[in-house]
Amino acid sequence: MNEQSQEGALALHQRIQAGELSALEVLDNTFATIEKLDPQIEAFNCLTKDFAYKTAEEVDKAIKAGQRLPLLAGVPLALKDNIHLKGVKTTCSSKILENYVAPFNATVTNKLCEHMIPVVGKTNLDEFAMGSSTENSAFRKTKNPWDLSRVPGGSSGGSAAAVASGQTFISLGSDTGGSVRQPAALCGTVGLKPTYGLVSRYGLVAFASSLDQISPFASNVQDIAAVLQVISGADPLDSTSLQNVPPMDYLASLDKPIEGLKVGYITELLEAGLQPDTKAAIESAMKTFESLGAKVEPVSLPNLRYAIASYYIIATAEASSNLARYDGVRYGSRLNADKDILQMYLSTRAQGFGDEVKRRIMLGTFSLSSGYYEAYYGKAQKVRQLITNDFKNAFNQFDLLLGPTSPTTAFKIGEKSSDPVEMYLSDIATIPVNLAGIPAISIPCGFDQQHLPIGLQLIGPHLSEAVLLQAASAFESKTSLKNLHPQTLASV
Amino acid sequence: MITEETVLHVAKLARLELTPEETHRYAQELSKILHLVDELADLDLSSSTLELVPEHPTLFREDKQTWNFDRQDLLSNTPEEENGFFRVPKILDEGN
Amino acid sequence: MAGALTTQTQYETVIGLEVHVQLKTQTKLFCACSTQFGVEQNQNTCPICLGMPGVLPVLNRQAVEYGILAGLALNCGIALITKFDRKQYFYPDLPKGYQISQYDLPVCHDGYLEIMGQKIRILRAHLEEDAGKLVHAGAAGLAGSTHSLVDLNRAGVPLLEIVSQPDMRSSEQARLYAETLRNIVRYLGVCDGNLEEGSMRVEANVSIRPLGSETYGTKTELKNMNSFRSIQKAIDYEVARQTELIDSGERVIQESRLWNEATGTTASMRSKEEAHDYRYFPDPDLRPLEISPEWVERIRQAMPELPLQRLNRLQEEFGLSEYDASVLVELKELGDFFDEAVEHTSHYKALTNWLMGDITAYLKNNHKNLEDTRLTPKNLALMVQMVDSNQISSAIAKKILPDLIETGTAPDMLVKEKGLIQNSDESQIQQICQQVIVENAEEVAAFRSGKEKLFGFFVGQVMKASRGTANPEVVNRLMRELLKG
Repeated sequence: MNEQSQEGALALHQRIQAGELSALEVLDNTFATIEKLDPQIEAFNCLTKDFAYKTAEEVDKAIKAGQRLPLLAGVPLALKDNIHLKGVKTTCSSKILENYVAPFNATVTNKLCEHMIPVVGKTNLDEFAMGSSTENSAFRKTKNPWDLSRVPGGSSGGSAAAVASGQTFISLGSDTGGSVRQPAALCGTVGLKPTYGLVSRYGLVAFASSLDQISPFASNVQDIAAVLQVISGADPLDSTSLQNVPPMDYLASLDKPIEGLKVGYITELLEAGLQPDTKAAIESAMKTFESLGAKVEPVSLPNLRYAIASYYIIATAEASSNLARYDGVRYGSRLNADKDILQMYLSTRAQGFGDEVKRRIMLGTFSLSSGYYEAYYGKAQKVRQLITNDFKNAFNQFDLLLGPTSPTTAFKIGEKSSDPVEMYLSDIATIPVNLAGIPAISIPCGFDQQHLPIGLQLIGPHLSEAVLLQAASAFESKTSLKNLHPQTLASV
Repeated sequence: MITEETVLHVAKLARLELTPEETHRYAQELSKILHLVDELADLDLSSSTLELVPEHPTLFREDKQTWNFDRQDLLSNTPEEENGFFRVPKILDEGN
Repeated sequence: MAGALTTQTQYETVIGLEVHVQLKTQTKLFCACSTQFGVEQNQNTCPICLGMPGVLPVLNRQAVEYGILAGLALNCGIALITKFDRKQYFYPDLPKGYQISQYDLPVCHDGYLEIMGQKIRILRAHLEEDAGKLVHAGAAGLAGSTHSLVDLNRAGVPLLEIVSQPDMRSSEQARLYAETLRNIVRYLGVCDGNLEEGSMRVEANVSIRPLGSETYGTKTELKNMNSFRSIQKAIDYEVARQTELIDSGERVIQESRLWNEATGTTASMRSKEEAHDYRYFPDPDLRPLEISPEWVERIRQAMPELPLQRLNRLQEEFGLSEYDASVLVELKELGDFFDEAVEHTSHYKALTNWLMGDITAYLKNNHKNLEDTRLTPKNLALMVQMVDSNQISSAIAKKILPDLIETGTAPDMLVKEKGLIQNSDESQIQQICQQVIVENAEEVAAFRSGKEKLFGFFVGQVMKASRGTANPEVVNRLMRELLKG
């Protein structure tokens, strides 16, 4: 087990700044841990040693020169394999991009570079970020570090597992319908989805444009605040990025009392379908908030029940369009190049895309097709507005909303993969947040009887990350549920 | 309900070649998923219109060439290249 | 179909035009790539216009301004809120598998264009990105080619698609509409309006219906007309084709047809595939665009002079005939040149004559544009002054014109250099005339005995002897006197 893993990213960074450890040493340790653990976890699609060591060298040089390091410099990070690192493959865990080398950095990657944060590798995901278990990857199935027979969640399963297993302190994923929060919950880490537009999408391979957000994982709330600080900001290359956000200091929001904070628990999420252990953990969490001085009361989001339907129409419609570019013409795999172009399109896409991706492309194409647009896509957008309004109304009364991140803890590999609908239904708690474009954080709030982590979700209004972090930090301090790593791996 | 005929039509629009087994399976799966969506049918949304008020101002770009990419870099992922062109198999229809 | 009809049905032609205008921005609509013409394949590309994974569009403000400007010049309403939509289809020249265009909220709507005193209504004008170009290998065109090559330099270049209502009733009207539209966009400076080069593309929707009918017939869409003449010819051909079809009891099929300049016919483009289902939906990568009335007003205030305005101004301010004015309007460079030249002379008619006559002829014969030469408005004005004040004859002016055009040397310098100042000295000319008479006694005798036509010969000889500098009016007068005998 990585000894460093007991500390956290910010603490590690401070030790590097103080000269106690070199960035090089940290990397050596990290890669040693990865080598030891990842054969079983399979969190990584590839490692980026050259890039990482080059960055570490820069850090150590800066230390020697007596310079002040930027935030999180020297702390190794894992990057979901749908975010570009120039010169390295971005596969999206899909056969159609298995040899695609990114010709440019994502904007967030540039920020990581500016902060001298070494990217150690690209992590596994559900193909094109479509899924809730990482079982849809064309290359490998990532295991949940807490129980290797179970899924880590998805689609950012690799990034979640990398942090949970202590291979890296921090990682980046993408969250479209819960793809960072849900794996965070299932893996016992912290995961935060920012307000839509707070973090640039340039260089993130698009799944559903109006829902995607690059989102960080970490083992504790302080670290996640630090990563958010690094990656957020307006981008002239992303028309949907928020342009006039006043500069924030997210680390300053932590460790502030939450006396008087008004928290609403979403009644619809505490109803049927919730695993008993999860329900108990959430109710216990509510009491913890009360003991911290917050006021916890029920709130109803009446249109929540339509969220999944609305999401699956909108997300798949956008996805079907975003994935039309994978045609074998300018990049990516190509099949039947000796026939005619139609055959090339048909074979390339049929063989290059996995089942779930094809299913969603077809659903999306159907929703947009002639005769069905109003009934499906048109209606889904209106429903989206209803859900957004439900949240707005709730935030007139409450500062934050609360609920479980996932109705169940980590399920067994293969358990849900034969029934797509069952898989979709498990996203009920996270999806509405993406539809409304608001921020939310998942933090560990306990374990079930099989010692599998349970996640608590806090949801805030537009640009309320500071309040979310404040509340999460207070909760974390009270419960000490942070830096959680499965002991079972230590013996490996 | 999604019929196999619909599946084939949609697959054609999306340029996906399906086996008969896949066609059959997708028809069932998509029907099941759309069943979820049928809930939306309960909602009477005829009176509501989508607000098209831009919440945030449009991000513009000034009309200046600010970058220059090396063609070789851009073509390095191309499956088949010919003299700086992307090469494709023969095209059968005039397109748009 | 012999004998079936006693009278032939009279048909009315109904035409609507869709014109794509390539906007003259420096960079593309959604990325910072250059739009410069004539570079090697795929040199003006980047990950965004190549549709690579992970890229996003950002809107070029200048393109929107050009769109609004054109809309205003076409008397359109400008949308307060407009948006972009994805038009989805698969084709190798379309990198993303969709084109970013505008569907139900175009930037301009409900305008008109006036031709021959009639208003042709414009339904809408919207912004969209252009596709790339295909080169087919192994054959002359698409049919029979072995493979194709894709050049995406043009992909992402901004276009304004201007759609008229089906208000035109003749191919001549259609041609005129296209020419007028071309002039307008050139005057606005938003487009080169060059059909041959493709910076302006015209498609015609053509149908016929029995005279007096209120319903529309089935229309076909004509493409590939690369000159104004071919627009007219293609429509004429299509009308004849449709007439023949309907007269023989068949139906017109709604389809796209390509004009073939070589054969003078249209041919169906219909492929085995069904009509496209474009599955339009609002592009989630771009926010809706709010266009403030203040912005529109600023653009309107800055609008350059339009062709119709120039036509009127040239007649009113400078007294030019409608014909002359229309030529200067049509050939915009000449009109621009004229406007500058009139600052140096008030001989408007003379200026016009030179521009439309000898100068145009020279440019044509030497395959040049006015801007390629060194002719300046000041110099032309000066030359006109010199002729008017009898410093040189118009013949001499014609002589120095090529040098004026090519070297840019001032006309008075040229005349001095070549010793061509018009000579009006009566005594000198008298001498030359007398000399000519002496040397051509035979011709003199012939003239005096009735051969009037020889007068030109004598004048010619005097001009020759004086190297063209003798004032022709003086020569004529003195020669007449002398030849009287």
